[in-house]
Amino acid sequence: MRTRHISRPHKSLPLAGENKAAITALAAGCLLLFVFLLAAVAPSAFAPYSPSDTFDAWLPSSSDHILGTDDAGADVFTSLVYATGRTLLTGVASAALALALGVLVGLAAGSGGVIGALANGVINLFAMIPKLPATIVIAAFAGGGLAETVIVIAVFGWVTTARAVRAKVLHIKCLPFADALTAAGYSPARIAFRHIIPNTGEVILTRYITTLAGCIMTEATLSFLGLGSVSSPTWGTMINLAYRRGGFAMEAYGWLLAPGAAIMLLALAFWCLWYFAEHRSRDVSGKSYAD
Amino acid sequence: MPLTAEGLTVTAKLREGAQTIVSSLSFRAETGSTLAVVGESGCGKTMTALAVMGLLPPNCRAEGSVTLDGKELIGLSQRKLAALRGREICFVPQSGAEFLNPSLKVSTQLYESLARQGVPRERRRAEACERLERAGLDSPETFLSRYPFELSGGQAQKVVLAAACGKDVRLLIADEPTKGIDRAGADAFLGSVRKLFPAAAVIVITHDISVASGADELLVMLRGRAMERGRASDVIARPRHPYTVSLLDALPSRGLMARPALRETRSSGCPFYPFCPVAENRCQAFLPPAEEEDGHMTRCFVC
Amino acid sequence: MKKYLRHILIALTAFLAILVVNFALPRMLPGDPVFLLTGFDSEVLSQELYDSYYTALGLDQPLSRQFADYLADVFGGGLGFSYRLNSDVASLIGERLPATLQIVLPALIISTLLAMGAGLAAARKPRGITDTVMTTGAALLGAVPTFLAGMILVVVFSFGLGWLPYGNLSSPGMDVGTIEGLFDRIAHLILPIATLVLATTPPKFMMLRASAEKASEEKYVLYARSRGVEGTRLSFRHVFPNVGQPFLAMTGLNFGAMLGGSVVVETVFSVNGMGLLVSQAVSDLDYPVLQGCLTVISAFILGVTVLTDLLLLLADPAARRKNRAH
Repeated sequence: MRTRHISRPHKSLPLAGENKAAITALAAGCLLLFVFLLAAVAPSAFAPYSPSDTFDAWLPSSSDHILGTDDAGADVFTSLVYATGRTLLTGVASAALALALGVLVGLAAGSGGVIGALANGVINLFAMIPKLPATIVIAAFAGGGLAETVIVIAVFGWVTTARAVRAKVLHIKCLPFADALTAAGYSPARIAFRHIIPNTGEVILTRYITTLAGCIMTEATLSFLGLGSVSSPTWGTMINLAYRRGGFAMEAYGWLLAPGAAIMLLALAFWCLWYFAEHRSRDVSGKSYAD
Repeated sequence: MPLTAEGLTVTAKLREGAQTIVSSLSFRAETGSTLAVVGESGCGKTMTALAVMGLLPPNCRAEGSVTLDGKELIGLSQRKLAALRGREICFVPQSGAEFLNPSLKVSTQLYESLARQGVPRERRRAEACERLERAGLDSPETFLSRYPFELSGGQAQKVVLAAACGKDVRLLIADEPTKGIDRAGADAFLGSVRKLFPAAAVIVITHDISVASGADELLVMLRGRAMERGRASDVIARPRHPYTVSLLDALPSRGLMARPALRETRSSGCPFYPFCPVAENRCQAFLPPAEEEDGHMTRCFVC
Repeated sequence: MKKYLRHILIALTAFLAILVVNFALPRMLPGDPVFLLTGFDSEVLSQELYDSYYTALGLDQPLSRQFADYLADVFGGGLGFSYRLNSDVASLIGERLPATLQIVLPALIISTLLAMGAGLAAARKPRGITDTVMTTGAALLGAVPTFLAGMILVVVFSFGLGWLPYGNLSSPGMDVGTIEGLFDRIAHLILPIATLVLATTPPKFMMLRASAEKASEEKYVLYARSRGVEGTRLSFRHVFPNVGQPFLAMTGLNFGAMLGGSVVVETVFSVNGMGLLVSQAVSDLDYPVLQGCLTVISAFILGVTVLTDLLLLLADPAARRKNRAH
């Protein structure tokens, strides 16, 4: 009791500065994401040329070609803009699949009984498997189509989500209202879908943002290693091509580094959103501390 | 005059805005005497202790003045405060079993304190054993290599006591040191504290007013304010404030049950107004001033 | 005690699961198992060769027999055969493993120490200047893909400033045995190790910072501070032993991520290690090599898990004392 008394004022720190930081993060994240989404939806509005235009190969960066041209004479910035959609689509789809898997397994793991123990075992098992090497092997077997890539990334992308959902479910089940519902005779399934899942919304949202960033990173790494599709390139594929076709020797740094920088900006945008969501959920739980 | 507090106020920045946890508290603790601070949990007595030691949580601020041997403590840099802690200001927590570091041996934690108190390395073991023995542990060597989870609650309490009793201690703060100990044990504990710290002012924080009978001075707190203060024997024999009376009345059951709010309260009024059996109308709106008479302070319009 | 045993058991199951998946993938996928096990396709293989491979790979045998042969091969040390490189996978990996470990092991130690120092320092004053700078830095670093970090380091330090060599682990004609060769080796190792450290430190830092910040509200911290214990001693002696256990367990698990990261790092820096072997096998679709590497990495994770659990068990006073009492 006593330490609660000591730590309570500490836990519900308001700190105006922190609120400001969270809102700045939200604004920056939304702005970045908005630009990327626009580029994905309407690449022609951003790209100075059409993806089929060719110029001299290996042009350095200039006012005509801000990132230079590649080995085939395509404008790198144009390719970059046109790859945005595919990159985002792969990320969004695989993160959605990973999230669905994670929520299902997490709910099962939080449900207790044999199913709960089993699902929890699966979570612990997957957490122990080397994610990147295993993804590489499976991706190599599966091939580089969109659906295959999405599935392969999701196969190992759900584990942390499942953990977070499980923890949240166990937490909710400890709250008095869950007992009250059980006592009132509601079926476990009804309790799960009508009462527990809605309460995990915050966790699921936060997890989706982190999973998205993670999936886009994984996709980029796979594509960098040459496991992406060449026909509809993502940013990762662009780096792989730049690297394999002698970008270093030709000092085509625009081609080599710009897609990576774009991935970094995208990841940062997600991090900003995550920071805001995390701050908000701390806010909410903070209130429940101050009785 | 080792410790004096004048107008000590602690405010916490909370989500709902600033909140005053301790308001303009004044007290003194003389060398060789014991001050008991009594109040229910949440009345700000622990915050008072933390403010004196400079260990308030980061969102809390202390104002006013606290001096130790004439040296101002409020506003002193953390470095200088840290240099005082463990040497001139020592702290005995409410439960050694909970407050000792669970991952470190008794010897590690004792030697750490001894080193800060200037005991040379080669004397540490002997000194630690001697102190444990003085604190009331038989065959102290066997305890040195133990971890806190291998101690009973009483043994752990003696370890934290041993860690505190350096030769330079000017102020000892004990926070609910008798929690979970029966009346006889509590009296014995306070007796041994007095013997172990002859040259220090001792502040004992407790929710149990009966513990205070062993103290010299008594300060009764409610909602961060001093309600009554005076010689302990005097206050216990002739309590003036209705709150002190109710604390003494509630004694056999120990601690106070949550009482229903009988009247609507206002923040500007007397904090005891909602429950006070003798309250008048003015008690609701106005805080009674502290009135002192023969060193016995009371904050009440009625009595 | 039970906790550690359970952990080791899970790691063992994960290793076995990888073996099963490795066995099942080429046989269960819609493609032809011969193509999937050799990496050749119908354009290269004549019908005659196809048939000989079919029997050589034991695909005419029942599945149980195939699985037994597969396990015998894995534990017998062959790890499969790469028809593309015409060598058994174990010796291919064996030749390249030292290079990989020279990058991964120092990176593991450096990133753990770095995360430890930074995490504890940042948690000392949550939301203070040090904490804000470090946490923002970690978030920025965490957003940088490993290959981008590597490429930037190469462009700046090798090509731009010319301070450090690029490519492989030794300059041509250098012998690591000599002092000169040793320095040459170290110069080659700096950038790959730095890349891996940059890539793997942020999550460890974030985790330790979070748990150390939580611990700073604990009673033992208040008590230690009341005794005048502050600063480094408070962080390392009082806080770390109480929050270090999950951190070190995570570091052990992180070894797998580091071996994965070294695939990217070795590709960027053209270091002829196991990572580059994986990267080349990906472009050649040399499945046996990929599977062998996955098996070896899983085995490493199993080994490291057992090792960290044993060390943590030895360092855990509660578990140690109980064992002695029994």
